[in-house]
Amino acid sequence: MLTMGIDIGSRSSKCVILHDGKLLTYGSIETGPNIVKTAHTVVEAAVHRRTGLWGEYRMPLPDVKIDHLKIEDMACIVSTGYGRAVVPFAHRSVTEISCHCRGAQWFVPGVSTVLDVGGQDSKGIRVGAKGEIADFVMNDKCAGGTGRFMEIVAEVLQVPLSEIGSQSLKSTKVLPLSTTCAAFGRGAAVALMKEGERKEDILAGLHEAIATRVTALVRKVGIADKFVITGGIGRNVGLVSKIEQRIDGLRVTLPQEPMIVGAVGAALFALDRARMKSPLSPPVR
Amino acid sequence: MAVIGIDLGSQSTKVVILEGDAIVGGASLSTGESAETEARMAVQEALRQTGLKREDLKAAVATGTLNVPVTAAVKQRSAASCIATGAYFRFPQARTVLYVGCDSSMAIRMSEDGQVEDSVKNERCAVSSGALLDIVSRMLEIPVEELGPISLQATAPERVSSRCVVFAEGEILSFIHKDPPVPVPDVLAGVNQCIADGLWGMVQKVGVPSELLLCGGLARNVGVVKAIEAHLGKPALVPPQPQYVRALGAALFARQLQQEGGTPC
Repeated sequence: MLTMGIDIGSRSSKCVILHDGKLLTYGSIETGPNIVKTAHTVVEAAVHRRTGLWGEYRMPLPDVKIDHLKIEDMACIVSTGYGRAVVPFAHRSVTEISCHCRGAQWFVPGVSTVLDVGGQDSKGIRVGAKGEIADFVMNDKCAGGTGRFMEIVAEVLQVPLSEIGSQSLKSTKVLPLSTTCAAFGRGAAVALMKEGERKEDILAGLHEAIATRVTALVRKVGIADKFVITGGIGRNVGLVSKIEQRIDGLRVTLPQEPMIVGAVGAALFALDRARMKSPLSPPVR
Repeated sequence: MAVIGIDLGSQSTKVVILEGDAIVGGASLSTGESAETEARMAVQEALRQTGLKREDLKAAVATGTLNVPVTAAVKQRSAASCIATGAYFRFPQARTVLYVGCDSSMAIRMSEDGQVEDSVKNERCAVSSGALLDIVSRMLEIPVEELGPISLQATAPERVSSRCVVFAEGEILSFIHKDPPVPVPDVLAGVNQCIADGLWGMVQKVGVPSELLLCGGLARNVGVVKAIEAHLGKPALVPPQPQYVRALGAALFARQLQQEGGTPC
């Protein structure tokens, strides 16, 4: 049975297809201004195994022919993310919080805390003993402590987003940057560039600011072992190391592909629903 | 006896020359890489207007958001006290002052004799400042001075729901790219409302016992002033050339120094 999870984020969209709960394929694209079109395009990306945003695939995928798959072949489709309500072919939509909680457990069994930092929001989730959401916090009102802040500074410095993390690790001094407001951060970055400061030192300051902010956020729900980071920042080595310095000796567990965690969660919810409706599913005792 | 006040703002450096109770010269220059250079140039420009020489200035006080000492001879005063002093000089009946600059803002409550009683600043968030107008001006390619008058032509202001300048920028962009696009006056009126809402929160924290005075560069935008007045429920006091109030306050401190027998600069 095929099920699909589709995560339309504010900056990037992800699509995952599971075959009986096992990963069959996934894909990603940048979210365009037209969500309906974006939703169709990201399905295409998954079916043709394209991850426009990240280059190579990090997870092993079964070597089977899938490029004939269509939306109609899916037993159930669940949408999530900022644009979840607008996906025309989704059977239902589930919040990002639920999907990240579910997806994180699929990648890391026994996870207790999830930090997801996306393009325009960041959230901390505490996972209960039975895998339920015990508590969560969210910041979607302010661009400080989100991927958008990193994009803004990367733009000023003209460093590709995928390289800011590794470049920040080369710094020799950490330049202070506003920890709260991304608009002030942009001004500060421009000023530091004018003063002739090195890009890696400005980036180190940026990562310090974001790490402080998101760690404070996730602390509100409590950080315990296993602490998982999902979303775009999971691929940023500079930020992950800065967060690790702030969590009292705990280690961060990174899913192999942190950006698809929400979409995997959605696809698992789709599987639940498909099994509930399917006559082939085992009878409930 | 001439004295000078120097205000180092984040975007522009302003100076005011005072002779007795009369403002005889003033200049404003964009703050660039070196605050000190701009300050010297602005002083020269103001001197040129008045026909005075540098030696004629008997005292100088500097203030502003940029915390840089201009020269050792110049005394520093806090931004809050300079705003309050400048505001009190213009309108002694005002008990609350809202100063809004390019990326800083401050609400101050004063005693009846113009002393600062309470103040709040927007250190953490750019939404309660002029930053959004700057962004919109660049986005729509409309000079900042024209934004206010254009916004008054709005018929159905478009609500900006974001409470973050960065997210608001994206939201405003989507208004412009809508099909059909939201009319520019309606976009601007929504922006004014967004800014006024943020600022009103600051004003409420200090309270308005009687009159509210608006100053700083943003007070030149008639649309924002109207949006704040809507919250206030009555007209606000806006001095002429409101962007110079802080520099004026610094000049008044300089006058005081000079009267007390301070050192010439």
